Amino acid sequence: MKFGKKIFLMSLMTVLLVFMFVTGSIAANDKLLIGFSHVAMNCPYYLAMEKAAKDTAEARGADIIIFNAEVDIAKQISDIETLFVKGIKGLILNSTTEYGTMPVMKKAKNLGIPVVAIDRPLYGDYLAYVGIDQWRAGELQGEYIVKSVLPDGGNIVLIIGDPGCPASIGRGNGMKSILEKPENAGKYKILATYKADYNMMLGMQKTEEAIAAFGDQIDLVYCCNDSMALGALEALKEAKMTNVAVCGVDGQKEAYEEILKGGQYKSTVVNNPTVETEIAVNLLIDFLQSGKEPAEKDIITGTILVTSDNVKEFYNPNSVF
Amino acid sequence: MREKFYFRKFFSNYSLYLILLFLIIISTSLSPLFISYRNIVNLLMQGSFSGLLAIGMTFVILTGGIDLSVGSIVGFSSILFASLLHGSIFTFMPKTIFIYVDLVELSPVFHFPLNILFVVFIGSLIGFINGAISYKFRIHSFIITLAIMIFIRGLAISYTDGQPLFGMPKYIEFLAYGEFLKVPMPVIIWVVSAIISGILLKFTPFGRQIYAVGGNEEAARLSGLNIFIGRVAPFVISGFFAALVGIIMSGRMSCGDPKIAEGWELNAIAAVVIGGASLFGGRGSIAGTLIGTLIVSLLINIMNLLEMSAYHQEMTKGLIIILSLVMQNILRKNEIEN
Repeated sequence: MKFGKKIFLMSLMTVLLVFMFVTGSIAANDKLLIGFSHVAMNCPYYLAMEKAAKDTAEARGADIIIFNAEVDIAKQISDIETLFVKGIKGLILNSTTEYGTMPVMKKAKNLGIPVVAIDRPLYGDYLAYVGIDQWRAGELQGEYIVKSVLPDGGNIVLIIGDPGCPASIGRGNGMKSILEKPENAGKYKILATYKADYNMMLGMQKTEEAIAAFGDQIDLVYCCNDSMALGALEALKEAKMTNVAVCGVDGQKEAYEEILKGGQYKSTVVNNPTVETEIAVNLLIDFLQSGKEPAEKDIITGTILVTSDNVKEFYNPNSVF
Repeated sequence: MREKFYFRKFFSNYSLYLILLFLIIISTSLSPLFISYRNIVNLLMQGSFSGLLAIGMTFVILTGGIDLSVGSIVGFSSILFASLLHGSIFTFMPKTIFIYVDLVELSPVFHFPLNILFVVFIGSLIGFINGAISYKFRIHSFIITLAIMIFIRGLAISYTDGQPLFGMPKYIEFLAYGEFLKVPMPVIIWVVSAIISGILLKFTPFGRQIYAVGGNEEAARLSGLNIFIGRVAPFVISGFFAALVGIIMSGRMSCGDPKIAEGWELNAIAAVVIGGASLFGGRGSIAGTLIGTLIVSLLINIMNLLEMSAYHQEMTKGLIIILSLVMQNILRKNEIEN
């Protein structure tokens, strides 16, 4: 009897499933649909990208679906697969790790979906990359540190976002590559490297830890983005360490304000999320609508060093980011 | 009167199936894409990873324990496997940054299938350590697996300083993306593992031993069962499945990544508990866990299809897990009263 009921239930489920298969037809939509798999939405930089993507797509008359991977590569792969199910025609990808999305991009290729990599360079078969030259950004900072911030050498605390991510690899090691040049050998010392997820609160917390560990030895806190650098600045102010310099990357509005004041915050590198997202979305829609291939594979935006000398050119009090 | 009685019994016996069916109906009406072939494949594929973990977790929870270390073991086996492929068992490389221009030449320490067996063995070994310490020193597995979770995650990250190691051979990518009769490999591995585990639990002396130890350890001891095996083997099985998931995940990302699977243990526990298992041990089944996994994956899937934001998803997931537990409890109470 019990067995019979199980069979009954199973067959009921099957009938229902088949029925839904038959009736569940996909709603037709004339609008172009693109997907954006975003690494995270936990700081102003990423939120500005989200907003720019939405606005640009709307202006071009396209629909866009944005998924937040919450810095989890496994979730990102699942997100992209869900976007395929949603029937996207093109994909904008800000990948959590440089290599982790390679197989799923292969899948996109098989489905005929072009991929535009944004913000973080990645490995795989993509239509174009739009973003700053991460390594060059690190080098620019390194050169500035050697020239103006610490010409006589010093001790540096390095705060990176996420160890596996290309932005941290480029910005951190680009900077280090300058400090390790033969003419600078022995002058600079990295006291410690901390990981703060590109997040202001964590940047502050890690700087507090660094202050507890090294105290007055610190001459510079170098952060791989401005959010963390602003956090670091908070922590340094609280500890009354006003001689310690802070450097960031991204060109966040608040960072420009700090540089304008001419205090501890020395420099940043322009990496405008709005501009790069606009370029990426337009490029993808152009390609989908008229088959126009991008002129170059790597489209480098920003990557300009901002210091107290030129900050006025870039500061805009009304910008989102 | 008799009619009413029949329905109540029906509901309490099949409450899980009914919840799943109800969710399927709701999902289909919410999104026409839900029932498409590609989405079903997606759902099952994404469910198979926490599904495999949940199978191992079922064994542990049946004995009244809990294994929080599985997520970390997944990450560790992923990076360990990649290290083996790159030619070393220990790669503590804090200074080097891996930048690849093209596909990587691999120089494996062990060749297929020895490398997979080795990683799976290490995973099981970590499970054994979990179980043995918990049994020998009478520390609750919650504490000991929590400590092991932190330790193993740290170990995994220090292997390569948190960086992914790129490059996986074809057969591993096949494990993650290959298909057999249009069914993805991870799903096949999941279902086969579930069937074997189900048989093991239901029809063998080993399975009865696990239920006995979980139900009443003292009674099991007095009836001459080996408590050590009953206490430790579930953790070994759990570690085994975690390592297996780590290997398949490596194929899915085409690299070893020590940071993956953070928090997956909670998804696995949720699936097992939704599947009707008692955290005090002695009650639960593989079939229940399967349905529990399907319910959790279905929820995630439909919320993604509806483009819900990630944060709302977490909230909804939590609420629905509570709801389904409460519903099951009410239905079960009805059964007892009758």
